[in-house]
Amino acid sequence: MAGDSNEASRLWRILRTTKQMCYDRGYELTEEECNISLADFKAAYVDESGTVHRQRLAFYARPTPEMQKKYTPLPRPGNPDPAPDIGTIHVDFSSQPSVGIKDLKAFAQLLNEKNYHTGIFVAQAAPTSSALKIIPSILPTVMEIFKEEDLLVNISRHELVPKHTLLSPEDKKRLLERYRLKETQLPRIRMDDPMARYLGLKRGQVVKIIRKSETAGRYASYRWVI
Amino acid sequence: MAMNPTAPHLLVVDNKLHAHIKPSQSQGMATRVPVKSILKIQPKPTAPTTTPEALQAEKDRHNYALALQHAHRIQDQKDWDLRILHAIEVLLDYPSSTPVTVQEASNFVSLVRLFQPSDLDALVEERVIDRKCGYALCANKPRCVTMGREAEWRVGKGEAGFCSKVCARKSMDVRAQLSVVPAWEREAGYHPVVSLHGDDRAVIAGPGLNAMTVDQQPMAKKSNHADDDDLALERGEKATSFRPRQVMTDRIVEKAVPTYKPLSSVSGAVVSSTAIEGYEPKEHKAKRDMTADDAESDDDDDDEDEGDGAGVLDEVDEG
Repeated sequence: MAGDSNEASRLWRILRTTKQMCYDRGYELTEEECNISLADFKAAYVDESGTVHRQRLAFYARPTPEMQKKYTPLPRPGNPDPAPDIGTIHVDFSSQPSVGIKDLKAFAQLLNEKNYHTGIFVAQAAPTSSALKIIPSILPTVMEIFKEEDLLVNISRHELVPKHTLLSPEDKKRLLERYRLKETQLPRIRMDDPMARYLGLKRGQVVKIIRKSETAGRYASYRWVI
Repeated sequence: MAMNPTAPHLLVVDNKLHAHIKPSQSQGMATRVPVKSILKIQPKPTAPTTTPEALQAEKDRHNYALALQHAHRIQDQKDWDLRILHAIEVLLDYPSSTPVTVQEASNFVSLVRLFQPSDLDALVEERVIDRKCGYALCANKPRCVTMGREAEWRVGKGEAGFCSKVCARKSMDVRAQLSVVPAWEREAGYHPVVSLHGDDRAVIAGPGLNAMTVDQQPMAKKSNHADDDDLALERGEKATSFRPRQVMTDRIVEKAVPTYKPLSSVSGAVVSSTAIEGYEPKEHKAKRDMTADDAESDDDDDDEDEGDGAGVLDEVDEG
């Protein structure tokens, strides 16, 4: 019983972090959904025998209009009204201890069928390297892999992590014009950086980082994602 | 056309000297061929690339070609990666029926040739996750499923992913034949020919199957002893070289060894007292005269102490 409750509270924390992550990215999620209490979680997901079935934890969410604005590329002469490069996200929790090609392929097929744009796959252990090779082959559908233990704690809520905000393409252009910069001259952040993965950043995007400063109270810095 | 002041009868036209043919000179003579200059003709320079824009354009073209070359190489590598991934996916589902079909076995051999040993390890790992024996042509469950969690320490990490030692051995055999060089870096079409373990070869060379590939030995030739022809080929013998049968045969005949007896044992033999193992040292006349004045020479004491029998050594010292 103690083991089960341990498992249940772990999954509660993971689910909370995942929902907070989707909310921070900009998807439509309510506040009480993101900050669900342990009791509510147990009531909703723990069955009579005390185990939690990970399949039941899966959920999906739609992007808010503000988020859609951030993901709409700038209008170009050949493309005056571009469509936002974002869609519904589907989060799935794997019940297998080890993840192989077949599991990721099944997930990719699910995303394809339901026409979801992004998928987050939360695995108990890291998938095999050959399974990870599927990810670039299913573009433009985006599939992100997270390990359960990485989501136990929400890193963006840590006191040493400053606030990262994604800039829309217009804001990015304005920034580059204001400082008369080329993209490559900005400080950089890697795509596999934990905060970059948290926000689901892609190459070429720019994040605004607001951190506390002794002299001026707050200081804004920018990073280009590569 | 300038008149050459020194030789007015020669005209200089376009840096070439032509003999100015006067009509009066041509009487009775054939028309002369114009004399060619011995100076080499300088090639005219092409469109001048001295302007900075032209130079930049030249550089850009060069860089573009270089970048394109690298991009093609990387794309080729990615295509190969995808191909190997697809091969792993196909082999993940083998075998579809319990006695392995010939088609599947030959498919396995043709797909596995492209692999590196690490790719084969990845295939084994994927099959184990899918609860199948690591060897692609085996439909049993692996040890980690049949034995449970103790499989790893009971049979060892290498065998835990297979159903038995036999399968592990077969997989090792195939792995040893794979080339470490990745598929995109190999020479065109040079993939190693992989032959399966002996037991599985019988599957491929099934009854009535005429079309057999090079890597499969026909059953007739299979024997425990090496062929004489194969051995001869290995030794490097050609048809023109001596026939082995005449020199090397299976029958071994002992050579009659002549036994030697010392001369003294033979009856009636005359053995000289001064002879050394049958050798009779000869003393030269000239050397014999010099031995008398030898008292002051710094010979070794040993030599002087020796008697007549050591005459050779005396001679050597004085020489």
